[in-house]
Amino acid sequence: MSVPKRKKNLIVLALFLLLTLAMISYHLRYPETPGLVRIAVLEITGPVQSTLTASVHALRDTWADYLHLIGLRQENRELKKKIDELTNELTRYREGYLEAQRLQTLFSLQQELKIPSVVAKVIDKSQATLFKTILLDKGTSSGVRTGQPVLSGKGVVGRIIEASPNVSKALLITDEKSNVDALIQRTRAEGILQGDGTGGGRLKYVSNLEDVQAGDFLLTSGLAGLYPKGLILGSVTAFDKKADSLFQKIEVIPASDFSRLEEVLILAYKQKK
Amino acid sequence: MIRYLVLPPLALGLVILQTSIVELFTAERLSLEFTIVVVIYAGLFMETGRGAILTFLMGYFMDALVTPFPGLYILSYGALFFTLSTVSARVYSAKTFFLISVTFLSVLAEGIILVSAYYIIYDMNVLLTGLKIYLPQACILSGLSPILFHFCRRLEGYGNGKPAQQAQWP
Repeated sequence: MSVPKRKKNLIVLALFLLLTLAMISYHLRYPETPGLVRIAVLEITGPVQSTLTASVHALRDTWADYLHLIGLRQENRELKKKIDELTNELTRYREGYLEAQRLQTLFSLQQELKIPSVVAKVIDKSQATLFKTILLDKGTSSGVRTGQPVLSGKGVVGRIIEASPNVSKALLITDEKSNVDALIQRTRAEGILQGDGTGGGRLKYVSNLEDVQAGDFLLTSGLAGLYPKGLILGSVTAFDKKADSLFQKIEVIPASDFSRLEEVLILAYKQKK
Repeated sequence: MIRYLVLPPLALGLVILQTSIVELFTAERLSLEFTIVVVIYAGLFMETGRGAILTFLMGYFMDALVTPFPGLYILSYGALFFTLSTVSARVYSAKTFFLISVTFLSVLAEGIILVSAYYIIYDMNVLLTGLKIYLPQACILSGLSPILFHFCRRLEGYGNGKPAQQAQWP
């Protein structure tokens, strides 16, 4: 037997209302007892809900951890940046400290020599070329003149060969064109130190009769008037006495390390004509 | 018959999910009542008997798990279901704009019913709180309604043992 749709709807509505009202009435009459079905629903829901809630919380915690990780990554990036900045700063301070130490050496030398001098920075080095020269950041405006000796804290570097108002060029003692009057400190034997063009030098015109030993210090003799007397040039590394020769062949290593030159002292030394 | 046996756990699952999962996404700031979308779908597209059972189940589980007073959700869902069921017989209800509008209004109507019930039962005016809860919910659910209805249609199709495309639309 088929029921018309409209009638069916009314029946469903009536049943719905009846059931709902019955439930509400039951609750109003027994507010403390939830009813069997409701208890069942709560009982079923309890473990499901707690498992789900735990999972959701775990997921949320994971998500929060992930977000925290993103924050950490950002923080890490910022800290790394900070470390870089501090490292740069530290390097600058260290550099300043080292520079101060070098300058201290130069100033000590300046005090010892009692000759007016100018401290200059090495702004360029040409040592891999045929010419062994360096450019300095002081020129004629600072009193730098051609021919003035250039010193490092360890010894003679060379002499000024060109000077513009603010820049000057120095020829190193290792250049083959460089000739410096020298004497061996221990024996006072004199000779000419000539650059070998490869970072060292040769002491020429030292008699075969002279006593030369490896490690002997070489000083400027001051004879030609280019350099004041007594500046350290270097030390003897090897020597060769040949029977058929009047002079010894003496290899010299300069006292200054030209590859590490950063500041030099230009002596305002008046050449003796 | 199996359909009717499966329906309660499914309905309960949906209620549990909507009270748990949504929390994850909204950080407990917003509740989204997907069950009302199911009720609207039932009212608009399902056969009255089946729809009424589904509505009753949704309302019952919501009452059991959410409200302090049983019957509030059943009443509001029931009212919505029968209203929509009556309306659906007279209008072409498959249009997207219609679905969005109906969802928006239904969610607001549910809010009004519950706020009124609160006022009647507990003599408390929770209109402002109700607005804060139901207005954003109405906006979001109505925006999502086309997708949610599509999902319901597919589920109903599977429930009927037919491919989703052949699910019955009025």
